[in-house]
Amino acid sequence: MPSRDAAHDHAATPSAWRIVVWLGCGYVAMTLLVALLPSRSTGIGPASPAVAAGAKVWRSENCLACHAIYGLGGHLGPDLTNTVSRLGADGVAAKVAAGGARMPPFALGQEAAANLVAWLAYIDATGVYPLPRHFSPGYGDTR
Amino acid sequence: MNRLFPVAVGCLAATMLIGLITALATVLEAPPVDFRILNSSHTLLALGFVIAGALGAAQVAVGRPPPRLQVVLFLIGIAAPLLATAAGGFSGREYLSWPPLVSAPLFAAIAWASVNVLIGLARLGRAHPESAWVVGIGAVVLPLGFAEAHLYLVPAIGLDIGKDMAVQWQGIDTMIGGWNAMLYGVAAMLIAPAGKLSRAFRNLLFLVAATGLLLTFSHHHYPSPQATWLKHVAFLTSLLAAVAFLHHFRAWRRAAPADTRLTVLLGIAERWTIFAVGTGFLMALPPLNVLVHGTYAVVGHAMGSMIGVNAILIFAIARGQGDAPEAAADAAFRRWSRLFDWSLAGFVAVLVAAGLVEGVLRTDGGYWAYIGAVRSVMSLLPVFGLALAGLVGWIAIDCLRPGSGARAAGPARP
Repeated sequence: MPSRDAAHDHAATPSAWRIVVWLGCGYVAMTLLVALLPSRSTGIGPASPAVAAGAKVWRSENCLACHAIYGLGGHLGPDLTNTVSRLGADGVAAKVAAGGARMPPFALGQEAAANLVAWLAYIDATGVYPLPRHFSPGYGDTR
Repeated sequence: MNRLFPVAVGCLAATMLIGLITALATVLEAPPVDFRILNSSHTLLALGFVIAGALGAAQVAVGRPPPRLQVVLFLIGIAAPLLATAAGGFSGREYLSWPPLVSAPLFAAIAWASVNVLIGLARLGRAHPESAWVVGIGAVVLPLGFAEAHLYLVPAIGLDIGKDMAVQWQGIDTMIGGWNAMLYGVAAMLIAPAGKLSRAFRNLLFLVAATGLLLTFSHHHYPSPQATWLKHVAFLTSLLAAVAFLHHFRAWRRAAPADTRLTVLLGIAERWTIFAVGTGFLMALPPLNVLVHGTYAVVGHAMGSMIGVNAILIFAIARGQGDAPEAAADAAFRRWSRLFDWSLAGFVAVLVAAGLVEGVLRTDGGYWAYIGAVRSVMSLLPVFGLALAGLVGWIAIDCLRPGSGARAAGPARP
């Protein structure tokens, strides 16, 4: 005859499984929520074909290994969130082609380089980074 | 037998070797190897170490040790992205920087191990309900987080930088939360008294852990261009995660016997848990987050967590899961362990100092205003890194010696 403890253990098992299943469902729901709700960059409008192509260049060249966007990424080079504002589109294209102190030159071709600049210009329009020191704990708009 | 532990140790050795080469590459004007490949390989191997360590430990804990085929799949899962990045194929993502297609074997290995853990969860739950819940949460969210980090492949997410960053970092933070949960759960099982928690307390613990893990440690998100409500939630979440962690290390302190190697290792993990929770909380405070976000200070927080908590817990668990009697911590073991603590403290202090220098100087002057000072501070990093690599290697070898948990066959202690 099973002991009282054993009976309690068996009762706990389905409960634990229910929790695991609910947790999985909850996580997926949370992911969908984050993915579907509008973000701050949504108002800028859909990405143009050039921006989409630029995102591919950005990823395939692994720019994030050395550079960051909004502080997330590599630390070897400068954060590129507002690089188009700082250098201008031509300046960014020239920098990519010529390289820098530690950055090797990238022979991307004219179209790919223009697309990459379009992607960086799109990011630039979404906000400002680094944030000003007077940034308040209200998590305010980064634009 | 935990067949994934040698895989984890192999990944760790390669991580440290490539880490040292990467550190040299950052100092040299023209590094001999493409920095993008070094950076990606280093991160991949570090992930391989922690994931193999956590999943191996969790499977042994539930009495279903990893089968050989799973280990082979895991090795392919590490080798395929490594070869792809070495050949210059990238996804351009943080942590998972290899082409998405080669993620398949690693995801399959993670999913297999997670399902294996969930199947055996009832056995662990009978003796250690609290650990079973925490390990179960980890086994659920680790593969989900890994999959979520690939959602950028959906154009509606990948081409919207706000959503992309939110989804990407929720995925990455969830993976981290998942392996943390498994390691904390298994470690607590090794030393906590069995089945003495009240149902109400267990429910509270689950609520805290589940909420924290569902919403992740999203303090990375404050300055990113995304919905404000998520940033408010992220702040609360970091507090909840801290409560879950605090519970675990308090339990260790109450339950752990003195003078064994396991206790010494858990003591290190406890100290670095306090550091990780403390710095995580501080970084989530918006005025400080503005200062340190995106700097080496955040890397310092991550390294303290990964080396001081994750790595040490993997070693402690490997030792504690064996049948062999636990070895006493002699004076030499304690001395070297203290040296590990100090080396890691120095390593982290350099990173935090470099981050603070950047945070103070960058707002007014930008990259060129701070990079010289930051590089000067960072020049100390290889010294501590070399010492740390030696000490981590020494601890790993000690855990692999005959009689230690990783070598000794047999089921987990109930």
